Amino acid sequence: MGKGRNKNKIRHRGDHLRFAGIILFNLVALCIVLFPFYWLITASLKPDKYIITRTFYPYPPEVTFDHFVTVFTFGNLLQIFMNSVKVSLLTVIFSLIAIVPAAYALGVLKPKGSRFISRFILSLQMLPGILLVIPLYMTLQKLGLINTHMSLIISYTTFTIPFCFLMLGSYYSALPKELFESARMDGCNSFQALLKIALPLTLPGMMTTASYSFLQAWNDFLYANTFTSTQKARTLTVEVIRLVGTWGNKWGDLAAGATVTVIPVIVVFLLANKYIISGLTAGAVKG
Amino acid sequence: MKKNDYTQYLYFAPVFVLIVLIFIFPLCYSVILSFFEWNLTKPKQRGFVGFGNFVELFHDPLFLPCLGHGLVFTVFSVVFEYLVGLVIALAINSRFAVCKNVNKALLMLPWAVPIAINSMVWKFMLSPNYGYLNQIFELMGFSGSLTKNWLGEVSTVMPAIIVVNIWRSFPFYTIVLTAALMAIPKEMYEAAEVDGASFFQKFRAVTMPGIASSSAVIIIFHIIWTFTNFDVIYLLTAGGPLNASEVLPTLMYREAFTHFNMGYSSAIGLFLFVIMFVLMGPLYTKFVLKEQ
Repeated sequence: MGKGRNKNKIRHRGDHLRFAGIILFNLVALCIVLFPFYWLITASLKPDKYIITRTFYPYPPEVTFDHFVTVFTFGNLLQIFMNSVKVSLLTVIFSLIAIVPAAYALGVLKPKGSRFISRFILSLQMLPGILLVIPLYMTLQKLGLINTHMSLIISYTTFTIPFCFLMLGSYYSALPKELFESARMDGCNSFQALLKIALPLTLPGMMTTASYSFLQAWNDFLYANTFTSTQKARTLTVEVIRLVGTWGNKWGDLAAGATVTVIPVIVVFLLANKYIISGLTAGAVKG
Repeated sequence: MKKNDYTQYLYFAPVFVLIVLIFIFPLCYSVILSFFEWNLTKPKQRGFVGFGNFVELFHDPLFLPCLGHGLVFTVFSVVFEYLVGLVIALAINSRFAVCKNVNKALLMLPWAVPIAINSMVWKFMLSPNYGYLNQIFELMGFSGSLTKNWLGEVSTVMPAIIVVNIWRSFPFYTIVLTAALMAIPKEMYEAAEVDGASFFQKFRAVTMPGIASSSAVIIIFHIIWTFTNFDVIYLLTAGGPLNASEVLPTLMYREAFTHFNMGYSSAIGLFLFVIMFVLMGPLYTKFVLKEQ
């Protein structure tokens, strides 16, 4: 934090106080936001006796990796972790395959009725996941897809459509029309133009879509909890809840499982947060 | 590329197939189911009951409490999420703020992390004997008056859930509002300052109009998302204690996956959807779709 830069900001009487106020407020906000994460990580490294206690320990008095050993050896967390990875990555791929052509058609080709189609897709954002869980469950059961990853992947992919479409759509409508005109002159058909011109230019948009879909699939609880119950199919969010144990006292194991679940989220989020934030803003602010 | 080349519609094929398969078909299925008595465990008693499920719902002793809790949950969550989100956005956007990008990324974390994990962590923090909240209150000398079984008492369960929900959701508001604030031209503030406007006058005349449309959009989304939210309440209390935090989504889920009353729970879902559609649909069209 360059001191000189801050000095420039301080122009009026009372600005010192305001500056201090803002910084203090900011620090308090960060503490409240980050404290639960701090607990999560420290609890995963503390023996149980320092978790279930009435004494407040600001840092772990004793560090142990027992909780991680327990969840990975007895809990088979590795398999469940891989389930989550598989479901999330396939959701990302499927949603890109579905959304890219649609966003391209609406942003660039603009066939008749585009406006209607776009409004229709966006209205679907109003559909709450809980409403569809019962008919989807019954349909998937009839199709024999309960306890398969496919059931989760197609559901997640569909739920990412409205938002990703909105985010990616703004990238495609920003592409200059002349590019596609000249491509057509050179004998490109519309599909070649998509692959050769639009795709490379909208890579940041695809990054946003991909990271958003990944987080959606990785974080979902409702569908994962309803559609999968076997260990072979379960994903992390459902498994972590179970780690706390029948008596609800294995907080250390829970914290270890939760830490394992959160780390990929933090990695994806820190790598892509610039894109996600700009995508969210493009989606919600628009203009 | 000709305007009426029908092959262009092929680009919509994947999205269209998914939407029909996962949205439209189940929605219709749900509407049909809600007119049937349809228990998975009692195949013999299945049959068409007309509006019977809805009549049963309106006479359900839990119906009004659920609606009330849902309303309280939604109103308090959205109002405070917005206020917290806005105040933090103003702080981040202030000319005194430092490390804006790191700040934004860190403040977004509660939103980016799975609800399942947030909820479990908070369940620990709020637990009566070794939860950190009670320990902090004890250290501050409020032992007894403020050390409670927050999620286990009828009187404190809703406020506790609302606080967790605010903690989890406000970052979204902050991010959107920060972007909206940054889009307001600096000159407008400078002009207002030249005219001798106070902080509140500047806020009313420059800031508020600048963030009005994005505020409308996020508030509308969050009203829909909060009123139909299932995860937070299910994971923290599953509707308890004594149904004190029961809302329509948790009631619906329990009817479907504990009692297997698929018809009845579909009716609950449809009711939820119709309220949202009737109340929020016009606002959604006006504020959200208009922008496109």
